[in-house]
Amino acid sequence: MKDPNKVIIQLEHISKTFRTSASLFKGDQKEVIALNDVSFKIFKGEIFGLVGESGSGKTTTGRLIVKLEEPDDGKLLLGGDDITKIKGKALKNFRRKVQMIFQDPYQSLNPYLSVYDSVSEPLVVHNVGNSETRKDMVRQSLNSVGLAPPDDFFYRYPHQMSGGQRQRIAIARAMVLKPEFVVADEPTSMLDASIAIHIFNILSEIQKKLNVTFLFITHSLAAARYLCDRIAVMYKGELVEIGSAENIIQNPSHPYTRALIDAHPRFRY
Amino acid sequence: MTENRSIQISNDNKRSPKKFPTVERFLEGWSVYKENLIGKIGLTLLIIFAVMAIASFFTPLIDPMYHPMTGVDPDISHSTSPSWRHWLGTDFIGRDILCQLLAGARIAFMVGISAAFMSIFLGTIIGMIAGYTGKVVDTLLMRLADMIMVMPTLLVVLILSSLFGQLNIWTIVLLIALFRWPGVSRVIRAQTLSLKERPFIEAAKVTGASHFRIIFRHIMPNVLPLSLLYMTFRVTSAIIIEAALAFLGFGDPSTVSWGMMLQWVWKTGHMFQAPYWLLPPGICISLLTLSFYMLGRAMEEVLDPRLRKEIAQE
Repeated sequence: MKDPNKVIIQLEHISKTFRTSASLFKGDQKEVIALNDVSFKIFKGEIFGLVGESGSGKTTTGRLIVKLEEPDDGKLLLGGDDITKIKGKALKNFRRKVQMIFQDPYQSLNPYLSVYDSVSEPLVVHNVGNSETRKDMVRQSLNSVGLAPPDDFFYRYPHQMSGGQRQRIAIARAMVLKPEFVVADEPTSMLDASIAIHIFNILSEIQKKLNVTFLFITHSLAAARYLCDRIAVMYKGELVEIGSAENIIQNPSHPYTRALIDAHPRFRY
Repeated sequence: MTENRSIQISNDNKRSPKKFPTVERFLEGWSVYKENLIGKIGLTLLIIFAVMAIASFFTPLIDPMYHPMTGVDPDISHSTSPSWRHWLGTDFIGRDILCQLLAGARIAFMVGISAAFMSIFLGTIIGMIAGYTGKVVDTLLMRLADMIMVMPTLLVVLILSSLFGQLNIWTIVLLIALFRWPGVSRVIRAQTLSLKERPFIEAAKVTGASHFRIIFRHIMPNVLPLSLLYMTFRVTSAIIIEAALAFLGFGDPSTVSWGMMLQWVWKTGHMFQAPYWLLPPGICISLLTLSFYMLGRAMEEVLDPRLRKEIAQE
């Protein structure tokens, strides 16, 4: 399963700066450095956690990997192929292998598409199967996220479902193509704690079943420890620490990681 | 806890027969709409005019002299006031005014709805493309829209018809549509600009959807209610432009429209002699445009919950 010899995603010296557009009268441009010389590798079959506070660049990293943003500098590799500047057919091929689960399930589903239309969209876009086999694939995908019986959900619309159900629909949508790599950008930050655990379990089950590699972006070290094999900690656009989940939690070497651990609320007995 | 509750709700949904979301959404909107007095008045007026338009097909069947264009009362050769035979009187060659009025409703609906539909179609597509593509395409399309927007539609159509002689009614419809899309496209563009930053558009991008698919599958359903709202306002302006053209004598001479009727009144010098002839088409034009406007206002409230709240607070 976990194969430390096979690198699936590799970031090499990635940098990204956001600039406010300068206008003629309104003085100078402002620059925000989102990522500064970030490099790491994600191995096939693992759940890789990316932890940091808001503004640390973790979401930007995720968006770069799924190619919603372009890096200013550096190289991005998928299974050894350079994907920094792919376009057209190569990009579409890449989209088939890499999917994303978004933070807010209230925003990431089109309110005008039924569950079936939303989940089957990746199949339609990539021309996979015919109308019958697509139905089966959607059923499988909905089953795997615990929405059963799937046929009852086919003609529902996002506004008729709870947040947890919506997020599971979003996961089913990302999983329907059986991608190799999935970026999950804080998939539980908008949900109740009890549902969050449920979503974590679904993700780790899917991971075991389909052997997908996950990049799990979160602000909570606890969540990362619960789910991830390895953790990287980001701070102000830089990678400050990387290692196995146990190691990071037990012996944090960077002061920021220690601060993160201390910031976590604990029950006092 | 929440999950359990949601499962219960879902069971309730399951028990009821499969609802079609469009129908459901429509019923939901209707329940808001019917609370609105203006909307109810507008809709009632519209239904009356629609019945008039449909009735116009049947008048020639009763008696050939009730044909709005060619039917002349054999006994009358001048304008007469209302009688049992001609409820609203006759025009200068003995044609029944009521029949003309009914036929005018038909033309008004035809012109209004088809011109509005075409301009909405153009405006929505151009607005979506401009908003979604951005940059150069956006600038080009929006400057074109600005240019057309400042041209006075009536004047341009007048100049064109004096250049090319009498214009066919469909040419007039097309010209109105061509000059009336910019307003719609600006609104749709603004809506598209905010939509394209929404995560579900990014989700579609990550899925690998083409630009074409994103525009027509994801953005269009979200802007369509707004386009339909603007369609009701465009109907109003199209009817007014057509009436003005016809009154000025640039209408299609083979159709009987309300503007045309007014032109006949004026041309034959009956302005002050025959109020039974002058008033009905004038009142009809005002009422029909008003009813479409009221329909639009009420629909606006259905589509924009913020407007609804304001009214609730009052």
